[in-house]
Amino acid sequence: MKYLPVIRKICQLSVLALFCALPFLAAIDFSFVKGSLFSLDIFGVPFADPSSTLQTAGQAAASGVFPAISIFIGAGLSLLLAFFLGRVFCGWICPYGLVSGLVARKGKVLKGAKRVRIIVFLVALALAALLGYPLITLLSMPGQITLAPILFGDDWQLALFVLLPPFLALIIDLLTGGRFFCSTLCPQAVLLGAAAWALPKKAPGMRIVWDKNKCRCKGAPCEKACQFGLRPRGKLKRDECVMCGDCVAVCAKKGGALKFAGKE
Amino acid sequence: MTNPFLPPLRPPGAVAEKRFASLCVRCGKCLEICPHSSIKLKGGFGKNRLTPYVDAEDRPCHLCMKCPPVCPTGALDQELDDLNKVKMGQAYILKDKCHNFTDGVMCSTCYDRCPIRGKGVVLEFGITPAMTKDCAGCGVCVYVCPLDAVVVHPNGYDAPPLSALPLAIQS
Repeated sequence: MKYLPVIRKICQLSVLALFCALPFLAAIDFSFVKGSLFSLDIFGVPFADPSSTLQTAGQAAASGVFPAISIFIGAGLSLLLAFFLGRVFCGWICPYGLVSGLVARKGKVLKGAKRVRIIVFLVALALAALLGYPLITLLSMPGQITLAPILFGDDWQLALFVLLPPFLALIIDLLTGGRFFCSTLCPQAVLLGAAAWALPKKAPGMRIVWDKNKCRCKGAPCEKACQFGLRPRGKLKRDECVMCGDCVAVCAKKGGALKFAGKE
Repeated sequence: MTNPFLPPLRPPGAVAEKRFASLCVRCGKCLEICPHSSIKLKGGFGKNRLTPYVDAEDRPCHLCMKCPPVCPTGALDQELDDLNKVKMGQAYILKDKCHNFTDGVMCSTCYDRCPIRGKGVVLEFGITPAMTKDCAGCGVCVYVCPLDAVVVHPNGYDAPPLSALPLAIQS
């Protein structure tokens, strides 16, 4: 458990490296992964960004068409993953989570961040359905970041342009010193968080559990370790937790009261 | 000089232009699979941000039909695999530029290079090329024309250019 943060960074970096390598893998006809984090095929299994899917469905319904079923299967699989494993996408896969996690200095998020991001999400959905403007696409950092390598070889200016929104978000993160974008604006956090929250208490699924009897240290290092300002001791909010395991790693050095577990 | 009011030329099998931007999820799969690097993504911050299009003057679509099946949302018709059924737009020969109608040089480059040869472009009187209604709009003729005498009007823009040669009437 001590090496958990290192393992996690390696995982996030490998995901980013994989997307950067996609054009080269495609060139040698070895593309087991296709697409970007907007919509992805891994060995033929479809995954899709649920919030962009919802935006597309809303927009399309407003103009009288219906998207193909494959995008809904993909979005459903992504939500299913979040339902059972929690928001592992945010903590272990998302390339924006990687860079944002590296610049974050303190574990403080805006008060009412969850409410703000839900309102932003609903406004963006309404905007998409009424005016046809894809604001969620603009706010989808993982999708845009993973599009850039595909574009780079052909049109590097456009690739840099696609990276502009993530770059601006990163500057805001730097100025506020925390995970401002992820906690306050990210549309993925809304739906993945909702899926993670929906897991019943008794149902099996990955979570971080707290063993009260082993908890001995003072000063709550676990709370300081959390970049999202959560309190891992007691009832951890599953919709806010990104399953990064920073608290588990810190705790392992002290008493090992916090652990990943399959059930309560 | 291309007409600035032309809508973007979409890849094969695209739904109607007014619905395209709302169906497209911007995943870039079509661009990734295109073996000719013909598909590009729109820039800007507008409605069409990151939607795919073909710039025929730079690299036309060769109707290889690899992109429609990979589209996850059906913005490109997933079932489309027959290049004869593609309708991306309509090509027009400009009479005031084409060799055959200006300096009398006999040229049939557009006819020779049409991916649906003999269908999209026919030789009227066995000599002069003329576009037909079956033209897929892929833009290969725009690309190969030595004089820039062919333009493609994407779907959703029906008016032909002023100096266009009338489409061939097919039997």
